[in-house]
Amino acid sequence: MLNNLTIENPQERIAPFREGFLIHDGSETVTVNNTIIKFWGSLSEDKGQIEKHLSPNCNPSDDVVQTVDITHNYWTMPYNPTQDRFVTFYTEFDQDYYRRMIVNYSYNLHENILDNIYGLNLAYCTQNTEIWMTNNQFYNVSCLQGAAYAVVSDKFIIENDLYADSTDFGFDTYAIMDTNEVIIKNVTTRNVNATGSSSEYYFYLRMNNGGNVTVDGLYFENSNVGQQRGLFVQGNMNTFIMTNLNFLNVLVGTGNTLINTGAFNKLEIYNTTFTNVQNETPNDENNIMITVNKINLGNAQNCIIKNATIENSEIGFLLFSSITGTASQTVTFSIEDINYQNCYFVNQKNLIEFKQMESQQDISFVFDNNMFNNVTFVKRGNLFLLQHQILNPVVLQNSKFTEVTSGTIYLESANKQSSNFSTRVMISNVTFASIDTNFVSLISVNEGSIIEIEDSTFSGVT
Amino acid sequence: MLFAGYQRTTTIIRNSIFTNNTSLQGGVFTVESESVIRVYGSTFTSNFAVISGIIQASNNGYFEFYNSTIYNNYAVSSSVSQIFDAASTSQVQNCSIYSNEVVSSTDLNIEISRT
Repeated sequence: MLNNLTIENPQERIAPFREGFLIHDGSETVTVNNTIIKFWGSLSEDKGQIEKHLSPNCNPSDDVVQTVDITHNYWTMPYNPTQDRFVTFYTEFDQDYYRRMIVNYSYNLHENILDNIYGLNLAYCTQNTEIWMTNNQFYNVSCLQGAAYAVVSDKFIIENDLYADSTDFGFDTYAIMDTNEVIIKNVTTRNVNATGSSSEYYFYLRMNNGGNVTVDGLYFENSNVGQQRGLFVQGNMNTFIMTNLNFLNVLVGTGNTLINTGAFNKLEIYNTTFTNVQNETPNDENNIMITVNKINLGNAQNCIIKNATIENSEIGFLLFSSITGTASQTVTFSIEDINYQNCYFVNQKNLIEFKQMESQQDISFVFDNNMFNNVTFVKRGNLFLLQHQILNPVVLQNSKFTEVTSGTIYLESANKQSSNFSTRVMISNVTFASIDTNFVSLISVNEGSIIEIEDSTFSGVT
Repeated sequence: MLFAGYQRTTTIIRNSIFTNNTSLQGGVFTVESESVIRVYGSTFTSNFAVISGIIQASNNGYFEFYNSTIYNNYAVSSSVSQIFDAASTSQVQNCSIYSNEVVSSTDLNIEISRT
């Protein structure tokens, strides 16, 4: 059994097929550094070019930290005549093994590679595993799956990774499952074309109960998301905090969502821009930028979406889907400082939507200082579709609507049988000016709904 | 502009201003189907509809205006309101209503040709 494995120095190495390096039943420390690795292989027989297996027989649950450093390597696949599939790094731990492991997969350059299943495949790790995937670059990598796949870990950090100039992406670029904490910082996807289905994702995070997700700097540029989801989170999280999201020149397939929050106690989203985010084909519809999937009131804290700009885009902005649990305190969900400008919707029906969600709990939704300017629904549509039936009204305040064409604020108590609450909306200190209704109402109140309007101005609504 | 429709909906307006709005029927409001629109302390001026310069109520829809000002609105028919088929009682209390005009289609043609 090896105690340490080190492969270093910039000499060219070729792993022609099967495992390039197999580390089985040990060692404690593995380092692959500053190495050029050219390869081809088949997944069915060869799991990874670098492959590490651990079992409890050789690694007792002691306090030794197992480290794996794969850094500063150059990976390429100049020749792949049979288009075999492969994984660059693969590791598998016995699920009963609890020694702490730290994986550092950093500063690796992947370039000109065909059918890369995953750059990093941690098929089964433990709750003590900490994974750092930082400063890696993937260019012209035709991927069936993606950059990283990990099942079970304590913490997964993705930082300064870049995906660029690639086509034929399928499956999940990052699939991180059964994890306590995920941190995504400064990750860029540029010039990438996705070909996966609606059950596949760019980022798929399946969090453990009470887990935390932090995103700071997520950039999608000049890419086609297609049917694949963008950032899709499942599980009952404690906190989900996102800052600095930038979607520029992005195409989206029909019925898609770019960000799906999963269930959470606390959600904060700051500083997002959606510029020229369009449908993939002229007939696409029902696309959403952010789906707030489930607000868990059990341990809920105040939530906020603040400072977002949506410009020259055709897909809907925000969908509130459901509320669950019992609130122990008043919860406020604020949507502040949002600017919608120069948006032209052909098929999209709703810009902001509250689905039929019912709750007798003390939660308030407040839209504050939102600006809608030059927004057109070619086939008519809803600025707001409001079907919630909750204790407190949805509040729209200190906002301005100008140069809006064929857009309606539509209220409807969707569950007509509900005897608890009607759909309620409060509009306060809002200006509506230069509105072309195209012979539909600017505000439409239906099915027992209640609207209160105060201190507001309506001018030039025709 | 605001449609209070099917059915039994409630609209409450306070301290708001409605100016230069136009519609075919009900320059500002249309209410029907046992719905109600209640207006408090608001101002309506220079609104226009072909029928009912401010509000049209039908099919048991009704309205209540309190402490509001309605002036210089116009329509081809009914410069302020029309009520059809209403079982419920509409009310106007402590309001100033003046200088609202019924205009003819000829007047409208002249106005349109000027613009």
